[in-house]
Amino acid sequence: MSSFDTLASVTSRISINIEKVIEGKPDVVRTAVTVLLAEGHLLIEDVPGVGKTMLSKALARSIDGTVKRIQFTPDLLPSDVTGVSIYNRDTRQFEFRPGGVFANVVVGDEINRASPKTQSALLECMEERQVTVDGTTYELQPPFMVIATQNPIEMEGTYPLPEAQRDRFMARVSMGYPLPRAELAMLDSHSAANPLDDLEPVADAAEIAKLIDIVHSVHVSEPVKQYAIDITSATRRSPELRLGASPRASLHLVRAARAHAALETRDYVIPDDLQTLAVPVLAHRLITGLEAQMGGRSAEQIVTSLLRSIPVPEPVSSSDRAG
Amino acid sequence: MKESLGESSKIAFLGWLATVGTSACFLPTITNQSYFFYGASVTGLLVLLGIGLRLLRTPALLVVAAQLVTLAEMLILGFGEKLELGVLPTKATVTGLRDIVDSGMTVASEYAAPAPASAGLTMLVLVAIGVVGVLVDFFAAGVRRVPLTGLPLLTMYTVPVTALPDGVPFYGFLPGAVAYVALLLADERDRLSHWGRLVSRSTPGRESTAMDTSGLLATGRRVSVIAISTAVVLPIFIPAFSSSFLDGDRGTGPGTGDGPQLSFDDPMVSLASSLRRPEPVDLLTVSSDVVPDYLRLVVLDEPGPNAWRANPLDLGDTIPVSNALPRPTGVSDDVEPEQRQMTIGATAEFPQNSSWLPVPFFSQYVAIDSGWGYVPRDQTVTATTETSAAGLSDYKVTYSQSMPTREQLAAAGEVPADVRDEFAAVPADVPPGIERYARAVTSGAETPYDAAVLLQDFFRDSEEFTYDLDAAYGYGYESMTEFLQERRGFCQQFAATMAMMARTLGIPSRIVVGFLEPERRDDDGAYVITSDNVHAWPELYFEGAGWVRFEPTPGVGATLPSWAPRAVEPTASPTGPTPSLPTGRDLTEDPRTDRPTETPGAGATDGSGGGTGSAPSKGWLVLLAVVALALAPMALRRGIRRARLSGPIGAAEAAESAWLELRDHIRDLRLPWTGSMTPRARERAVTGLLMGDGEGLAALNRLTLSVERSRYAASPSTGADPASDAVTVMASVSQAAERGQRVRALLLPSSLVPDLRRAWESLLQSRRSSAPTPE
Repeated sequence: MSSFDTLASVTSRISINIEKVIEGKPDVVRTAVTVLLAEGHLLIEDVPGVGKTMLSKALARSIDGTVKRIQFTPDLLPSDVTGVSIYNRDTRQFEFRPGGVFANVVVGDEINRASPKTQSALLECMEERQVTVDGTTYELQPPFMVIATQNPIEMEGTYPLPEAQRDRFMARVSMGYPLPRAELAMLDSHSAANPLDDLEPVADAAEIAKLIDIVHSVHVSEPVKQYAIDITSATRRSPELRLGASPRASLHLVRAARAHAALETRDYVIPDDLQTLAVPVLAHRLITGLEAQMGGRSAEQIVTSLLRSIPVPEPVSSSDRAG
Repeated sequence: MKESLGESSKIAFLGWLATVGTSACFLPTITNQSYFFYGASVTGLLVLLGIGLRLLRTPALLVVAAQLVTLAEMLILGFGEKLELGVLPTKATVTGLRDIVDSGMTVASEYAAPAPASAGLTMLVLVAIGVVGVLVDFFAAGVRRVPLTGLPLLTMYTVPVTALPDGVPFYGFLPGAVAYVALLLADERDRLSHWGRLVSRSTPGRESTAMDTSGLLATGRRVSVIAISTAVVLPIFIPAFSSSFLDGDRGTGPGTGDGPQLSFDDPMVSLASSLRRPEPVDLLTVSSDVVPDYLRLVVLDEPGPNAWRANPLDLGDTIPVSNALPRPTGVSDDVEPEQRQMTIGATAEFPQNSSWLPVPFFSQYVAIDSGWGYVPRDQTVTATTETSAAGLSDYKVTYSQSMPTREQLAAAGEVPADVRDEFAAVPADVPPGIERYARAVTSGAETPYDAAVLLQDFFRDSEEFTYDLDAAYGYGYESMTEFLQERRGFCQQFAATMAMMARTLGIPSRIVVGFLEPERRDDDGAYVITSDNVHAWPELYFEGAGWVRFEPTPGVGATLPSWAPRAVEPTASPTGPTPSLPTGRDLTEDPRTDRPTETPGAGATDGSGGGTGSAPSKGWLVLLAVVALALAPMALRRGIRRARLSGPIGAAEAAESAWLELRDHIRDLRLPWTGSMTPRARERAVTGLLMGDGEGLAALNRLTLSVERSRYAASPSTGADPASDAVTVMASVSQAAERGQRVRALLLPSSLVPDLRRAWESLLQSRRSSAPTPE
């Protein structure tokens, strides 16, 4: 249990640190930390100016590891992301110069502005956690986390992530507008100087790697796994959805739930973890059908209503005895 | 309601075992125990039918309907006659069945247990077992409310419990109880294993395919073994009310207990019970100048399959006894009656509620207080008011002892048609063997009188017939064949069979219940009639002589009537609880003994320990049954709670059981516990019911954690005690509930009530979607 206490103290330090700059969004911060511990990648999608970049930078800054920020633009090349081999005249050898992706935390700003070719270079790194340039494979050091931001409003000159690419992200969060009081506090704290400058790292990469190991020890019981599959398969059957969740979504859901349980110092996953994470983990992978679009129902709403219809795993069979 | 048919069939089979086991409770009440196997096969067929129909996904209520129809058809095939196409009942079948049921009712009401076997009784028992079997099947396998199967089983069990004065012996209780417990265990185990949290004891850490419920099962077995053995053993040490506690003031009935309060309500039954008394009691004292004749109480003249019955009496036809009584039917005017007198006194043991007054045949005057009427048809005296016999004082009877002669009987004329119609009628379903027997015995007889003497001789031949008070069969014509084969019995079989054989020969006959010639007491010379003198004999009608007494019963020391002697007198009278013959026929003066003081009502307290032989009065029984039924849900609910909170030993099972108990408790209070929720969500919902009770909230939190860990964690142990936490939470919920809710939860726990509508809907749903549905 003590390892979980360590985990709790470290993560709360991180959360508190982030909340110094992102006021009034504890849920979003929590999800971000969850994804970090679950070795996933986070997609932050929202309108401009609500603190997407701020969040990703704050998270990156809180970890005393290497942090790189890649501003995605239409002319960004894949080699800018992965790195490039250049000829060193002194040594008369090709030398690998690592790209932006070689870091513990990579902040991909406005990922939808880059060309599909560059996007897919990043996404391949995300999935494989390694980079291959000129036949040489370079491992990316754990922890490795990509925090990408995306602007859903701006359409001109953007290349929105295709469904298959979105599937690589463990979770998507939306910042949403801050509450008036939080916004007021923000005006006070941000007007003087950039608060990010004062942010001190509270955990180092090795510590995070240890926390990730702790998360691995969280027990997922058979019924909970079944419940996860029930949830994802329900999205595939739902008539309101054109595309359901992939098996990778099931995997991500359980991994995120493990991290979520560990954050609550629990060494086992409960269905409540899955319920909490279902929307952030699943919604961005789903494509709503025409009817749902006409009815104004978002993927989030559909997932929420599906959750209500799926019975939680219990030791009794008939529905009326369910407790 | 998605469950495998294998499980449901297993439950159905256990339900069948429970029904058959419980039907063993009838074993001590019926002499012929073949019903047990019929019952087992009939219910077995019904259960198989149920399993088959459920395989076809038939709705539960339709299954019940089909089973009931099948039960009815099986009974029709087994007991009905005159069927259309061999299977369809006709009007005649229905009438026949009704007669069989009536006769079964008669047997059930007339006989002390064990009742003689009869088609009617067997059918009634089979109907009961069949209906209970269908209900058990419905509750157990149809709607899966297994605890409810206890209700029909209990109902069936109460029948022999009320019929047997000493209760049902252990072998009538054990099989049913064990099978019921097995059924409950199987069901609970089944429900727990539906969901697969898989902790195996043998291989810790490895997950197997079925939930390990062995700990639960072992505990369940232990608890049930203790409960059942306590139920069997405990009553031995606990003083119980005697059944007389339940008696109404006139509540008397069939019984063969140690000290039955005699009654003549049902003459034949009380006859048997009075003869079986271990110690005879004095009933009547008779002062007479000659040896008193047989005293008659009541006449039975309607033969039935199981018993002879008295003709319904119309009090309007009676003649006040203070009047001069008419000459008995058929006694010719040539006979000049003598005028003898006897004074009869009743002792305290004489039934205070007797509807009949013992008088000799051919009574002319009875000097007694009003309240008694003479029945000219039967030559008996009956009470015309309810309380006539209470405080019965001595009464003097003037009577004639004139006896018919053999010549007179041999020369008897044609029997009048009305007497023949009334007293020589032979029911259609009398076994033909009886007439054949009668003809064989009386072959060579020239007159009815000769035939009657031959019949009497046939029975009196004590080499052939043995006097046996323990003969188990009845005296209706259904058991006569058996009696003629076994050749054992006592006066009621002898009298009834001789009377019936006489009827098959065309001689009008009837049975009289009364008293043998009394003994003479040594000390004061009075004649004393004891309970051993109670007797039954046939009377045959001969025109001119009227009703003539015959004495077919051997071994009671009764002398043969002078008008029907026998070629060879038996040399010695066999042993038996019989009065010895009065030694002297001396004509000493009536010694006028002190008559026993009469204390009305004393008999009720004096009957050596209360009438254990009497059946409890019906009102009490109904009340008791209603109370028992009303309390049954509460008792059942308590039993379930105890089993849940004290039974399981494993931490996981204990937490699950406590959680289930909390759920049922909340449902009992009619508070919401619906839908599918995680333990935490449920905790939040229940928190609202606790009205901020801190202790309850803490216990609820611990209980939730226990359940959560038991379901989802790698190791379920939390060190908490889920049972005591559940008790705390339930107390807290109860406290927050209203008083009415609490009372209702106690008496009508709704968690027991099957939600039939829901079961019905889910059945319909499962029928509609034959494709696999979302789990």
